Amino acid sequence: MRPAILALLAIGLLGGPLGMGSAGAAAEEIGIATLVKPQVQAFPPGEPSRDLVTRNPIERGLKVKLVGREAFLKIDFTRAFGCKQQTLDGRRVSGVLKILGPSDAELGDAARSCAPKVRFSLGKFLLALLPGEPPIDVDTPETVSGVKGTYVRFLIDPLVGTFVAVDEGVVTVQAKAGGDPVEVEAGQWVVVPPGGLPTRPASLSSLEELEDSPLQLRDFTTERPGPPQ
Amino acid sequence: MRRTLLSLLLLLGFVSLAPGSWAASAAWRAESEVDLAEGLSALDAGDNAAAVDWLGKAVALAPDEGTPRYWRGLALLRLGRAREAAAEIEASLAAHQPPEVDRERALADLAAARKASEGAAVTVELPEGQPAERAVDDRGLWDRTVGLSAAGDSNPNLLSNDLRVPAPGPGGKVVRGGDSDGLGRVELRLGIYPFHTREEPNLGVTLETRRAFHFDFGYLDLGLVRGAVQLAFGSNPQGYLDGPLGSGRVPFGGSSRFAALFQAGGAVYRLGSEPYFHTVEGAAVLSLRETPATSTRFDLGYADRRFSGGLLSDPRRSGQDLSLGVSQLFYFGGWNRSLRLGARGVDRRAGPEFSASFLEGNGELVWPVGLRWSVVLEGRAREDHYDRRESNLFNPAGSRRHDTTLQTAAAIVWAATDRLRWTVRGAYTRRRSNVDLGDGLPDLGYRRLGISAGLSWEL
Repeated sequence: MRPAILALLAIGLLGGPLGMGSAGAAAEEIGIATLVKPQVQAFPPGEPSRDLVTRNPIERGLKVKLVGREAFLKIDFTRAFGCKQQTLDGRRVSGVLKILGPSDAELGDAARSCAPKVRFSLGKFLLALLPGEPPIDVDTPETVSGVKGTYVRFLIDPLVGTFVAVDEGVVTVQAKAGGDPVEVEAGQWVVVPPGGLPTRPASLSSLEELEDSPLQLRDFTTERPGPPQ
Repeated sequence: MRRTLLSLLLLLGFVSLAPGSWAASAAWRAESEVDLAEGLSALDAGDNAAAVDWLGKAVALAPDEGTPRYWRGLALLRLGRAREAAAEIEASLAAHQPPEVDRERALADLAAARKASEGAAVTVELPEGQPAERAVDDRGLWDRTVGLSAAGDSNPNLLSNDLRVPAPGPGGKVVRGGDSDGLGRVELRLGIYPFHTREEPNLGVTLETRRAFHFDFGYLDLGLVRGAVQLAFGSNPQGYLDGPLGSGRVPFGGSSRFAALFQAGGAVYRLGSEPYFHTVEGAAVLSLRETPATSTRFDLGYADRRFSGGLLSDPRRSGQDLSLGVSQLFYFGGWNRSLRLGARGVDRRAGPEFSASFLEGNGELVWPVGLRWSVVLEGRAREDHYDRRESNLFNPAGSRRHDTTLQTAAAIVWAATDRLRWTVRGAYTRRRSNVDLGDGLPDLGYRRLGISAGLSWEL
């Protein structure tokens, strides 16, 4: 009997940390939807989709899809997102995410507990993360960005690529196409085009500005033309 | 021109200080946002005292934000501190950033708080927040670009190879068609966008200046100062729209079906140390996106050009240009892979020697050829039809002037960093003209090859 109890205890102990990635861990709450303007569809891992409303919990791995220009979602991430339970100055909220207009996102990775990660596939996002909190990885079709204690804005569009602007702190932007990571500091922005590296779009200025010779061709007959010497 | 350049450099230096100070003052945003969230959570849970504390911290961090002040006012009202509540709600409505709730509701809450401060009983229901519209792709107040390049020009005088003409100025020098020269060029561009935090309309003021410095032909040193006011609507994948008066900032986005840019401004050109001409211009650019990968662009432009009559400035060229262009853009998976095919027509009113209309077909292909490299290919064919017989400058009885110009250009762009771009560009131009200079002399046609290498740096 005692070995059986020990085995059950062992399974219980192992099942805690190792089982996080299973379907049971999908219900792990990492935040709360504090403001929802329709329509916001939620796709919990392994469960049927539903319309998200204000005060709904946000589970790790939840996918959300915002439909329509007026759609809006504000999420308060709790410390459970980064598994850092100790509080700073009594704060329970570690970060705030706002999603505006037509968007697609995945909030946390259901397969990796304690890995604060979000995936932005389409749309406009504002992310505020307290200094001192575990960094959040932001995955987009073009980039992986490391966001640590900052205020950052993302715009993701199939033709534009990924636009990243930092208002506070520093964000490390690594293009999936390759190259070195780029550090985007407060007050700066970059665009990573589809399949490209971080850049800033600019038009090419032309060299040719004069259309006609400015020389007054009135007195040229003072000298006969000849081959160049 | 020197004074203008100096002023611009000083302005640039001043401007370069601005973003740093702005960034420093913004080092409270994340903390303020989280404290606001904590306060709202406490308010929602009915813990009004905690809400007042949290929202007070948010207010202290962001005194210009109306939202934490408004909610703190409601929390104070719930606690029965009506006078403080009224003051806080009033301050929220006067804040630089108004509270993210319905304004009518905020005014009603202010009235309720004032009533309560006079002893009336009020109940406080929490309203639903109303997200403020803010440009997520806000790129700040300023755009600043510096460009430097060196070039070789096979024919800067734009003359037929078989022609010799006296060079301007004293000394009796003769310039031969096809005499080449080297030059350097400096370019500064400044854009100011006072309403950059808003989605649209996007109002901008741009100022650009360029100056070329030739080794031999100093009288061809073209200098330009141009200022323009621009108003843009809609969005496009590049984040800017090119117009006749330069490019104007628009929001990034591929979903907007329409984008428009309206421009008004003027430019002053100088050649060497002499005034050349100045313009007053207006333009409109309309872009219609039919599918995610295609768009059609219409350009309408007007320019009043005044040549001053200096050494190289012929006042007979003064007049008005009215231009209309249409082009089709194709995007191949992103804004950095595109093909543009277009046509443009210009009606030029000037002295009888230079009144003309021209039609142009043009195209541009932008294609990445590596992670940091891209190629830009351009082509242009243009037909100039002059209106009057006087256009045949040397034989008024001859036929009207008719020019055909072909131009091709290729550029390789290396994006060394996200802000620094190196460009090598070659352009070949060939013009044919039916107007000869008489007496066995060549016509007004010419050939020109220009090779340039330079950098452009976004500050």
